[in-house]
Amino acid sequence: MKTQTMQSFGMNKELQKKEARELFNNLETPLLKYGQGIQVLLKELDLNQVIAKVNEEERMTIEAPQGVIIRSIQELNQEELETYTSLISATENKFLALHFAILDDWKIIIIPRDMTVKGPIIITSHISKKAKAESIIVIAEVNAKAEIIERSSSTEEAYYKSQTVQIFAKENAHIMFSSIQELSPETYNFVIKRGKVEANANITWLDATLGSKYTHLRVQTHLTSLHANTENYSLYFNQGKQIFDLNTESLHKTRQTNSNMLCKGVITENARTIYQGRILIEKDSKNCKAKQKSENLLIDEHARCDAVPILEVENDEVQCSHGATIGKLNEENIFYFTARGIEENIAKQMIIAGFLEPIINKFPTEEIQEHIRKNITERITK
Amino acid sequence: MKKEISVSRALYDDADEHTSRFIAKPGINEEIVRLISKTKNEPEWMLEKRLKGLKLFGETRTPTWGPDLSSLDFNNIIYFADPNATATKMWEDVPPEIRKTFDRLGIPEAEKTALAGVGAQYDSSIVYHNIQKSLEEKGVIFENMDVAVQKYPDLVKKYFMTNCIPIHDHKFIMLHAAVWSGGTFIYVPKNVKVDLPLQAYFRMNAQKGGQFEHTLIIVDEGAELHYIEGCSSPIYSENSLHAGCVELHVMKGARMRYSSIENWSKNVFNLNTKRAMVHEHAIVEWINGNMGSQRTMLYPCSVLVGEGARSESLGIAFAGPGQDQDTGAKAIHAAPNTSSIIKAKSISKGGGISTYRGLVHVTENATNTKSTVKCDALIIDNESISKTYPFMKINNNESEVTHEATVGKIGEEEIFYLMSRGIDEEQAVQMIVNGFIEPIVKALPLEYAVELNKLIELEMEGT
Repeated sequence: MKTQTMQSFGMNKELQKKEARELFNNLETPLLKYGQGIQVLLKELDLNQVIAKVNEEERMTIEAPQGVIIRSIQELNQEELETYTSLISATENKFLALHFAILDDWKIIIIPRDMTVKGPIIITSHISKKAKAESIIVIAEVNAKAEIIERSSSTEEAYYKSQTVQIFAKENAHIMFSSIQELSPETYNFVIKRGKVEANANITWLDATLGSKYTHLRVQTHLTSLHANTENYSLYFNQGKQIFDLNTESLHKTRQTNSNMLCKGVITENARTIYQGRILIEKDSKNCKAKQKSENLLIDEHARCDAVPILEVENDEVQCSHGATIGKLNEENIFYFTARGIEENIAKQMIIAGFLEPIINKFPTEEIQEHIRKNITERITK
Repeated sequence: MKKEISVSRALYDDADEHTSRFIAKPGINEEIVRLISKTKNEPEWMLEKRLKGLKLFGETRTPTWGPDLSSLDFNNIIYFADPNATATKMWEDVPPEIRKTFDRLGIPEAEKTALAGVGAQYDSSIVYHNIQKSLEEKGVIFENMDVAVQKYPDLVKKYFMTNCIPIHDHKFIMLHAAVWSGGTFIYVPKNVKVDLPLQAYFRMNAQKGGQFEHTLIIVDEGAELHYIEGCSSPIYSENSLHAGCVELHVMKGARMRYSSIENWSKNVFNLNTKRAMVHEHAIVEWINGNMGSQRTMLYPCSVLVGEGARSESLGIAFAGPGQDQDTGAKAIHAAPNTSSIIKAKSISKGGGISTYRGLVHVTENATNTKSTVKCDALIIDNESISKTYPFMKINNNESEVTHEATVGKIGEEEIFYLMSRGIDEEQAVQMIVNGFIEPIVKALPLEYAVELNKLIELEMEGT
């Protein structure tokens, strides 16, 4: 089933869509249940409405420095297609079937061998109506180095957005993929990001989850060869009735691979966050190092947070640790500020900004960092 | 005190000689449930409870989120056996590895046979009666659960599988409700402090009949109790399912410590449920060691229902070849100013799987809650597996919840350090393991601590 779907991509795009559509019709909507009563109920979300209202007019735009190759899906040959669409499949679940059923907007970015791209590649997506699906494929050839910034926004007419990102980091390639998500609080957002990291290569994922009504973010990295490395730095600021359902995974499929995940977030008003992290170290993956940490601040009385950090270790030659904290603003810190004549509100703002700063300052450009800071400060003072 | 401890391993005495000699056929049905109830001459409400449990059991699927239970055949289990009828086996039938362990632990002959379920009854009646007498003077009730149903109907009806562990809790509790038999009932009156740890060994017939034993303990306001369940030496059981239930009610200002070292033989599915309702300013402490069984699913739970209630859980699990130890702890904070501490340690060896699965749930009104969870796992070889699944559900902003876990192997440098001082490698590993489990062993009474240490030494042999 899987290969069939893949093969039909290049040959006949409409056929592939039709297959995904059939899958969509046949699959059950997955329950967003994560054990021990932790679950998300999306009562209002109507997937049939999504399929009926597909936005085919608006497209992602890319600004890329010289040397970076941008191609369309039709330009890939059969073998390339099969390889580079292999990490995510329409058969996985109803949301992904829907994604491929309505998908029209592909961007394929190729960083040629030995190239160090000067300056970031910037992908911009703004949708102003209905439902939209986007797929990004990044192929970093041997020794290639690049930073990619992906920014997404929407208006309140945009109902549903779905996105997949597949990154292939070949030997010694280094890719940093940053996402700044500022969708409208009316937009449902489903994002699946997967990376495959080969020998001595690295993928660094940066995520600023700020907007949307509901965000379903899954970032998964497959460490498949010696000395493959991944880092995942994620921040979120959650407000109103927003629900963020975040999941990061490092899969250590071979020995001497390393991973580090850090997620920091702030939950205000009636918002809710579910954070799941998972480290899997397979049986023969010896000498791996893996770390994962999540820190969550609950600001208001009705804010909620669920955290499930998971460790699965199948051999003894490893160093693994994980941790999660869920807490409130430190009253002593607030007192410190107020004792110096700073208003409580401002004090809180400063503490929150300081709490998120270690992740903010990992984003690639000063401008983006400033933009994230501004987004958060404005929303705190709102 | 010392003397009492030294003979206290007796499993049962001769208190229950009136039951008829009978073994039910394998499998479960209404007839068997009615028969159990009738044999025990139970009141109508208990029979109703059993039947309701049976119905729910039939309607509920076996959970699949945990260890593999596919080889567990509910139709192949004897749900009711008269205790006197089972003691007819031969010593030769007891598996050699269990006999070996008895020898290594230096367990007296009479007790060995009792632990193996083959011998005549081991007479602990003298000790038992002495303790019983001193407890009676203080008004403490310490009774076989079957007897308690008859003797203390009001207390039992109020607390037995009601608000602590209701019969619909999960599949194995439904089964337990239908076929439970034996166990312990303890009531400690207000402000009474029981200074001697009470041990399950005094239970009458509980081990022999008791794969579905029920423990119900009520520690009234301001009272204190330390209860010890089970036995650190292996218990041989032909029956492959153990689905016990432990309910603790720790009232205002009371304090309860529940220690248990479980070491069922390695054919057993140990699917046990333990929960405490902890009231205002009360304290509950769980100390758990899981050594035996092929599959264990056990997550002692503290429901902190009163303001200022506290809970502490210490757990150690050892998973050897063929074992899947799925254990952990739960803390449900349902009142303000409550706190919980969970510390879990596990060792996986020879292909064993040890899993920490836990929950910290802070409800909306449980403001100013503090919870700390710490898990450490040691993997001894490349065949073994360690997993950690902690769940945290936090519904208010006045709480501090932290979770930390580490997984790793014994440091080569530590071993080298010890070896360079003339200690051989096996011994060095052993010393490090002993150090690793020390915080839990320290919380146990001396004789248990010694036995647990020896057991782990035995399990670690040849690494």
